[in-house]
Amino acid sequence: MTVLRNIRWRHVSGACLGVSLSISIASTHTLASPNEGPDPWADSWPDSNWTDSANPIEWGAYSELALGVFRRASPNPDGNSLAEWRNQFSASRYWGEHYLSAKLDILYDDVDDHSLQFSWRELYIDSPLTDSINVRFGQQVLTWGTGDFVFLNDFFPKNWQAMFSGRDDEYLKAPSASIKLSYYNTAFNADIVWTPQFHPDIYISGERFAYAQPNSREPTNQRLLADNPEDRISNGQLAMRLSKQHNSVEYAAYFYNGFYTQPNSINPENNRYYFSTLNAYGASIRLPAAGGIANAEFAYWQSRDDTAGTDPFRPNSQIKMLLGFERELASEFTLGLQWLSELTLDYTAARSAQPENLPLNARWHHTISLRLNYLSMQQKLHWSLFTFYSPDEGDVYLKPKVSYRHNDHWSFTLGMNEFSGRNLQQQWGQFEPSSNVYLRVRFRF
Amino acid sequence: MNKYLITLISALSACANVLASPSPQDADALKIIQRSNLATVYAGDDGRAQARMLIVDKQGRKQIRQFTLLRRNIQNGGDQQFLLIFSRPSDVARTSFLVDKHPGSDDDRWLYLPGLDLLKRISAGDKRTSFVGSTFFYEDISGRDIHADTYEIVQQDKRAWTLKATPKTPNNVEFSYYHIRIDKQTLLPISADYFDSNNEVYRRLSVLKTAQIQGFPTVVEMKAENLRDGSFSINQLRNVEYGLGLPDSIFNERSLRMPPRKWLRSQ
Repeated sequence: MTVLRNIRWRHVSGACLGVSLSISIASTHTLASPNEGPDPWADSWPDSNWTDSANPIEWGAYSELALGVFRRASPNPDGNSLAEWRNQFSASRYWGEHYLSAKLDILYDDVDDHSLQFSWRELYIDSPLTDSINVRFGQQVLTWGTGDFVFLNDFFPKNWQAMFSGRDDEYLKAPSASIKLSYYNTAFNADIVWTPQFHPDIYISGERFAYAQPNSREPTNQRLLADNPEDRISNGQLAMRLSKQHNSVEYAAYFYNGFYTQPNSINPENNRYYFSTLNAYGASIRLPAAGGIANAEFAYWQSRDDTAGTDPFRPNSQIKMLLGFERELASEFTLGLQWLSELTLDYTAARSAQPENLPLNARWHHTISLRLNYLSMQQKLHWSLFTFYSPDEGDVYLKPKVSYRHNDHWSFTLGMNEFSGRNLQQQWGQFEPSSNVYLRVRFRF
Repeated sequence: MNKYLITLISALSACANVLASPSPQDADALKIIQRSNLATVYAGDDGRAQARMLIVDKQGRKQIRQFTLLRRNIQNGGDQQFLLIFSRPSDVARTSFLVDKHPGSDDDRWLYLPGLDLLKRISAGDKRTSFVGSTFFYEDISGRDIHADTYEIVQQDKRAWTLKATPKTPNNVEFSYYHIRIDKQTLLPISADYFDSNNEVYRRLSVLKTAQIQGFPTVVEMKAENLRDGSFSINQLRNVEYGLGLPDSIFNERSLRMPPRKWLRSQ
């Protein structure tokens, strides 16, 4: 049983970013006389008809300034949870049926230990191999599963620092260099994703947010250093999904072979954190029900480094169950509810092996989430509240946000990440000193 | 199975509707609506169009959306599949939207967000909410279930019929009734005026332009106005083609994740 309560929040990995169909884009022009004039389209874009025109490359770019401050005295000395200038440049084009997408992020980050960062958000080629097989090769963002901010069977990398600091929801998912093979058939679809070099989450490691040591009363900024698995071909991550839709009902089965994506084990030989091995088996179902969408997902996480559950320095195997429901309550107003239950297996063995001075997770841990989304002003103003609450621990993570899309160029987002709990050994409670408020201003070229 | 059931239910409710309407004129009204619905939303077995939408708010500020629309009829007058691939503005490029339309029951809808690789299922919800922030509603685009209203002919002249449509379930909609004017020759709608409980018109749909495409009269420009605040949207179609032989297999997750380029391009 893991003793590392400080990073236990990994279990509520999650995400699906309650996205409503808010493709609400305004453009800048002011129309003097909207009903007049020879052609109201005259000043609009050129036609894009998906053919290889003279300029087949689609360009895009944006620049974003983001500032976030801690609401309480924080162990972080400069008091900022977010202070960055992000520039993204994107280009994509087709060669016949083959598609290339490139997105480069150039980030000046005043909070991170590395202030200047160049990273490929996307750099992949997508090709149909046959009528039924597709391959996507390269740096890509990957997501599957039915949870909203909750991942049971999605082990693709997440950026928890991005989520906790209030970056765009898109940045909760970090890219990985992977090969994705997809097979489509009327009977079922199959996806196989292989990430040859292990790609962990971007976890809470001390430079942006403090975390709690298992036996400490104070949150620490000490950098959490972890040993990655050796770069070997056998140390890659393999993820598979079989899916099928029948009569409005979506079914899926999942398999994962790799490592925990956060360093939740300790090597007793050198006392360093590392990523222990993990297999996961899961299934999900999603269907319309009671005027909304209901989903259920199950996962069995088999901790391969501690199958008997007797090792206090490695996580025990777990069973995770998720129930979710989302429904439009009124026009443009959506409610989402989820219940996640996590059962630690071999609990008796874990309890007897646990050193007395270290805390032990409860056998059952429950998390409830609530999402409220409201779109107003022709979907230009987007209100959202996401909340995690654990009924057994009594700790809370509140994530309210309001975004305003002024026009095609300017958008503004103001939000909060509020953590509260009884003590530093809780999943969300440990981040209480990291509660923050942020503002982002984005200009799209 | 399900879709046949729905078709059956639709057919039965259509019969019930006819039976419940003793006046032959009302039966005629339903026939007109049925024929108009087929002409407007079901032309050809399938179709493709490039669409762009001009959205003007009450302050006169413009927004523009551009997308390609694929449609396939599963049953004439019944279930349909729609695939929308957005191309403009650039930050929503490749965002895609799939609808399995089931008249008389809830549609199945999915939205794919390429930045997250997220395939989100959208609750059926209210079909009379704004389509991508415009003054059009979802069902203005995909067609309102003809069995949701009862109809009577209130006026006709050489060119058109005017029908009054009254919702069977008034609580589900924001209007008390609407008047729809239908062209006798093309069977396409000319306009629809929506009335509130004070008998005031507050919303108007108008067809601005039609064209004869492969023998099918087609609405190629349509306007939706909010008469209370002056906001409006215009939807314009280009490169409309029918009878492409779109396969069932492109209305699925694969196309949401990777738009089926072969079928999106004008030949």
